[in-house]
Amino acid sequence: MQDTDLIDENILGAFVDGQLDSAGCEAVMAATARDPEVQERVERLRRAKDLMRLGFASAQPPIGRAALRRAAPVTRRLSRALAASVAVAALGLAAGTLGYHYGRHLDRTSLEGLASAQQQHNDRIVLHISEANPLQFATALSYADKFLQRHPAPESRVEVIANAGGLDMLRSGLSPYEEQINTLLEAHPNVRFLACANAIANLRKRGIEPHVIASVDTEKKAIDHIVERLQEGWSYVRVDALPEI
Amino acid sequence: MPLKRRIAESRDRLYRVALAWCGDEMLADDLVQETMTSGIVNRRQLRDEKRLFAWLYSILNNNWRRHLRSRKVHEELDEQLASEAAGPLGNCRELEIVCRVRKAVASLPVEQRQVIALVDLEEFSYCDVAQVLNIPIGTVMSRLHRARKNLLARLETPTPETALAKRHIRVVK
Repeated sequence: MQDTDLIDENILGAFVDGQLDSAGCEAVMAATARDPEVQERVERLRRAKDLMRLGFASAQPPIGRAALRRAAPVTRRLSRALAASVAVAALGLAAGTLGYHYGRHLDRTSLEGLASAQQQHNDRIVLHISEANPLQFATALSYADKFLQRHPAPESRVEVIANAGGLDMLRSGLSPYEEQINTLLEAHPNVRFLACANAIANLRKRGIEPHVIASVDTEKKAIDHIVERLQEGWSYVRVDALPEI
Repeated sequence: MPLKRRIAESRDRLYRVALAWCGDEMLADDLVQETMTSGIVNRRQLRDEKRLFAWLYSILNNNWRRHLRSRKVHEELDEQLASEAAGPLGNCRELEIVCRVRKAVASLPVEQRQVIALVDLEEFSYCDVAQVLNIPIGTVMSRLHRARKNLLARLETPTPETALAKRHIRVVK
């Protein structure tokens, strides 16, 4: 009887993956020494493993997420949910929206985690922009202004956070709204603009110095900051789905 | 390093597996962001920090499965990825072999993709893969075997481009 008949592919796979005990390894090595066909099967499995590693070793998350091909239908669904409740919008972020169009599925464990967060502050809101969309940003500025007029300082707070393509709206010399941003900051002490440190780093990796508007904070990653705010009970709204005010 | 920081820095690692699973760069990144957010919010539920990545991949698996159910394109997506010459991976700017491997993996059944990615990219034990995907170890082994066999078969089949190149070589000779 050939060794080929004794050692099935699952055993050889386990050998290649280092999943056999010492006795198993010795048995396979003895078989490969005796039978060239077994040796060839082992080599093919190793080749498959090497190709798999080669194929994905260099994979890096995409830089810049402005052009979202499948965003529209998802955004519309999310928009309806947001219009229904700002609190629901906050939970939407926890499910991973963060400016990424697929992240609209509410995760049960996330919901439970957020449900245990501190009490919701209806006068504290995070506005999140992830696309280089001047119209959306203008709407966000208008929304922030109205919100702060209706919810005066010091209790109320608004933070506008930009990441991915949205960073362009906070870049000096590139954003068409630099003056409006500074005007809003002068008018309301309780508004703040933040540019994602990760998005800035990604641009720098590509050799681009973003030159963020001086009055904009740049220390934190958007994901970290937004999650912290959610845990503190802030509301979250994407600027492409702002509810009526 | 604090757990929250470890999760926040896991993006690249999670992304490789997510890309192998779903075959779409944007979707992979979305799934990873969703996973990281869930992980950060629910990090206190993790009892053994040594099992951080097994736990994160369980969340990633749940998110991926939920996405497939909600889109109802389980089979359609496979067919689409297998047939599209310029699909989600069509913009691959890597070496040709890298592109071919990614397309070949994207054409595998979802279950096979998941197992081969966790074993070969993450070097998870069969036991860990079984726990992450909630399947028996025997199923892990059989799916892995089929995945490797199918992957090699797809990569060893000449593409139209390589077949054309060979014809040219013969003509020159």
